[in-house]
Formats: sequence, structure tokens, C-alpha cells
Amino acid sequence: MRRGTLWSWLWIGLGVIYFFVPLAATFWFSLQAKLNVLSFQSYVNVLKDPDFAKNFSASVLWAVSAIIVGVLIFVPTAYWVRLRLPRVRPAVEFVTLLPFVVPAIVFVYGLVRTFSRPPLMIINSPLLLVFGYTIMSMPYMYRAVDTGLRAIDVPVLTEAAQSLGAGWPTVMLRVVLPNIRVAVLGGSFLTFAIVMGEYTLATWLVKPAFGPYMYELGQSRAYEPSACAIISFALTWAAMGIMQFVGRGAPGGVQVAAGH
Amino acid sequence: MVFLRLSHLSKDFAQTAAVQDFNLEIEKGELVTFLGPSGCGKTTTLRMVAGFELPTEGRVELNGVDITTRPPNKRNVGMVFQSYALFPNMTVGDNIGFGLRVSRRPQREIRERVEEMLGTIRMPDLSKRFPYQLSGGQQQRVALARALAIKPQVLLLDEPLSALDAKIRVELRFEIRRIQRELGITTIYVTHDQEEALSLSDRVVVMNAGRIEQVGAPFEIYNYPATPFVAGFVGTLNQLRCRVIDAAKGKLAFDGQEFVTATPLQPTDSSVTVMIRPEQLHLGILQGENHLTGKVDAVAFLGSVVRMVIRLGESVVTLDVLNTRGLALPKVGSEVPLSFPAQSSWILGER
Repeated sequence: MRRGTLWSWLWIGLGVIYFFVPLAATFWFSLQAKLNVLSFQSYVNVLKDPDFAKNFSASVLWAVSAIIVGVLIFVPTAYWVRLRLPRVRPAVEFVTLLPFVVPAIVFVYGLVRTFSRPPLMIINSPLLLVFGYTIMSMPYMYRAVDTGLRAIDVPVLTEAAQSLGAGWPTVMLRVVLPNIRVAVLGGSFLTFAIVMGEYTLATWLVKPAFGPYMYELGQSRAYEPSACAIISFALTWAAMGIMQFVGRGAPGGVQVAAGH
Repeated sequence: MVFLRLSHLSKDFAQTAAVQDFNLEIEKGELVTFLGPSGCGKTTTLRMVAGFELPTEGRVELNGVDITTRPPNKRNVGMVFQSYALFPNMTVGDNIGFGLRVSRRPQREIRERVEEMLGTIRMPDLSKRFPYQLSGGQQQRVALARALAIKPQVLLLDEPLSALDAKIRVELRFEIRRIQRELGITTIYVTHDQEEALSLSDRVVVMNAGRIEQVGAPFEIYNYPATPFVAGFVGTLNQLRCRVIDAAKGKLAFDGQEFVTATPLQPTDSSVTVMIRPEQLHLGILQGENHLTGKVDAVAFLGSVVRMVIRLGESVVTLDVLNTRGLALPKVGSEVPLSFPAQSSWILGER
């Protein structure tokens, strides 16, 4: 074996250890709910808890709503910036990164202050939470879409479609979206992962969500939070698997990979 | 009958004029090439016909209707791009049928039309392939079929062969011309490749710096260039700075060697620039022609022709010889005689 390969394997091994040891430890711990016996008791407890289902499905609903709103806003925006306003791109990129700069607690204070008084008193509406999540996931969604658009020649494909008689809706739905499907999916799953674990916004806007539920569980129980963590981890991986599966065989995706 | 009329078309981009006062009338079924160096305004003009650019001034009339401000998707104009621009998410068949699906034609008609177009581009079995599974030449054929499937009134081709390699380029050039003739479709073809322009067009529009330099048949453009730019851009041209020795007899001196031209000359003792194409010059001495002597500077074997650069004093001339298997190539540095008939040289634009 050559020296270089040996080093590569060493680094890979270290990475795997770094990644899997805490995971394995959490899993191991979650199996010890019964004294001296390994069991899935903590998982049964979690899944039997009606609050788990309620909070989990609430978070799924927020996540899916945030993804839909995000796609509707960020795909046309990124497309238009690429097509017609390339000069404002740095400004737009800066704006999309703001959620990284502004701490969630500051953000939620802003939301509460702005929307608990007229003209837009929507502080109690779940819409505010969805919009908040849309903004929080903006760096991921916008960037994923923008990267997807970079892989195709947006102006020329647009013109080709137009010369064949296509109006804007047709260009967007039949040409742009299908070709950035994998990118949109990527952004969607990142949004999904963020919303599923989010704590601050849900707590301060007093809405049911998975993040606060896990926190409360951690306050009162020993093994169940670990079980919960493993379950959410498995779900995230399942989501990635779905992404891979849907992305596979997508001609747009394959061609992009081959062309770049 | 004039089918496409471009009158006084101008386009300014942020103070710089990309196209200025462009006037052209195109007949139905004609193939017109816009030829010029990059940045000459040929693509901008094409894009104004397609509707992708709005003219600053002037009008575009198609079949008697003013379409200057009509959006591109309402023009029924087919366009082929240099980068093929096939939709990567669609099969060949779906790409070709795209325009028909957009205009909600019945399924059966779409299927038949796609089949027909696949036959026209001679790729009948590749309907189910995706663009990334095709070669560049095949992709461009599909792009052509896609543009033609909607039965456009005008076909616009923007440097369609520039991304392809030499052999495919020549092949596809004739293919485009064949299909264009078969369908009798009015076509504008933009290129910077003069060989392409000369070999395919009914008429060539030579452009430079946003203006038309000359419009004419390829034969005319090549043999009777109207401006110094056209003379220099289309083909290779020897420009000999000569002194007039005897205007009445057409006698000139170049590098101290005398020769005669059939072109009318300016008064004796003035200076003129005489033009002669490389293929008009012959190696060796031919009776009844002009003779000059020079030294071989370079010999380039190009296949069908051999191009030589011959030095005469301070200047050089280029000379083309048709290749034969028995050809004896002169050595670099050797002295060679050149011949050319008096009728083959001419004077440009010194009207």
C-alpha cells in the first residue's frame, strides 16, 4: 500500500470514529431503560406518548409549509437575479446570509415586536411561524437553488423556450424547475432538518413543535431523550435517502453531474 | 416579394451603439448570412429579429406586419443557439415536440411531427435519448429539428456550428443548407466564419462596428469587395502598394519590378494599392502574363492547397498552389518567379 493511501485511510478512520462514537453511545444509552437488560423500552415510551405524535406532526407541517413558501419565493427570485439582475447578486447574497448573522433570539424578538401590533397583527397565527422558518432556512434554500441554476444555462434555455412559444409560467414549470429539481430537493431537506430541530422560534411564538418537546423531555426523563434523538436522526437519514432516490434517474441531475 | 424587412434598426447598449441604421430586405425562402468579427452587431441584429432585444430605433416587419415590439414567444420564429440549448430534462422527442405541446396541439399531431422532424435530421431512432447521451453534432441537429417543428416563419441560427469540430462543422453546414432548401424556409445565419458564410448563403451581409459594409452574393462579396474592410475580412488578399508608371498603358511598379493591370489607373507617378487574390498568382513563368521574382519566406501545406509566402523587397505576397501528387515544393529561401494575368489584379474603392 502506498504511503498516501495509508494516510487517507487513517483520516477516514478518524472521521468515522468522530462521527459514530457519540451516535453509538447515545444509542447504547437509549437501550438501557430497563435495569440490567437491553431493551427498546424508551422507544416504546416515546412513541406511545401522545405529545410526541402531536409535536412531531406539528413540526412536519411547519417544515413542509416553510418549504413550499420558500420554493415559491426563492426559485423565482434566484432565477430572476441570474437572468436579469446579475449586478444585484452580491446584495441578494448578503441578504440571504442574514439569518446566519442575526441570532434566533434577536430574530424572534423582532417578529414579536413587529407583528403584535397593527397593521399586521398575526402574532398568534401559525403563518408567522412558517414565515419565520422560511427566513431561517433562506441561506440553505436560496443557495441550493442558486447553485442549481448555475449548472444550467438559464438565459439561453429561457430564450430557447420563449422562441418556441413558451410564456413565463411554462418556462418556470417545464424548463427551470425540472432542471433544478435535485437542488430544490436538497434545499428542501435542509429546511426540513432545520425546522424539525428548531427550538427558539417555536417556544417564543408558543406553538407546538418537536424542538421544545425534546427539550421538555430532557428535563424530566433520562433515556427517552436519547431515544428521541436517535429517532429524529433516523428520520433525517431517511429524508436524505428519499432525496437520493428521487434524484436518481433525474436526467437533469445526471447531466449536470457529467457536465461539470 | 419582401418577406422580412429590417428598416433603420439601431441598438444602443449603455451609450455604445451596437447596431446602427441597419437596413435589409429578405425574400421568402432566402438564406442570408450576417458575417463579421465578434462585436460587430450581427448577433444583436439577429436578437432583435427574434424579439430578445428591443431596438432603440427602427422597425422589424415580417410578412407585412410590424413585429418590432412583439414578445419572442408570439413571433413564431425558430432559433438555434451556439450552445444547442436543448432542455436537459427532456428526451430528444420531447425537446422536438416542446413548441407543439406549448401551443396545445393534439397528441397525435405532435407525435407525427416529431417523427417527421427526426426523419428530416436523419436521426429516426434516437427519440428516447437524452441530450447528454448525444454528440455535439447530434445535439445541434435536434436543436434544429426543435426550431423547425413549430413551422416558424423565419429560422434564426446564431453561430450554430462554432462549438463543433471541423469535420462535423462542414458536414452539418451542408445538412442545414439541404434542409433549408427542402423546406424553403427564410433563414438568417450569423457567423464569424467567412468560409461558412460564402459556402451556404444566397446573400452575405458583411458587418463591422455595428454597420453594414456590404450586401451581396458570395461570389460578389469575394470578387468585388466594396470596402477595404470587406476586402481584408473575406478571404486572403494581397495588397500591393505600387507606383503608377504609365496610367494609359496600365503599367505599374512594385518593389522595382514592373507589371501591367487591366484596371483603369490614376495619373502617372501617383501611388495606388493593387489587390490580388493568392489563387490568382502562379508559380513559374506563364507566357502572356505578368512576371515578378521573389524569395520564398514560408511554405504551408494545407492539404488541398499549398500556401506560400513570397518576399518581394520590403513586402510579402501570399500565393496558393493547388496540391497535386507530383508537386515539387520550393525550398524556403530560394528565388522563384511568379506569374499573373493583367485581368486578375484590381484597385479597391479608389473611386
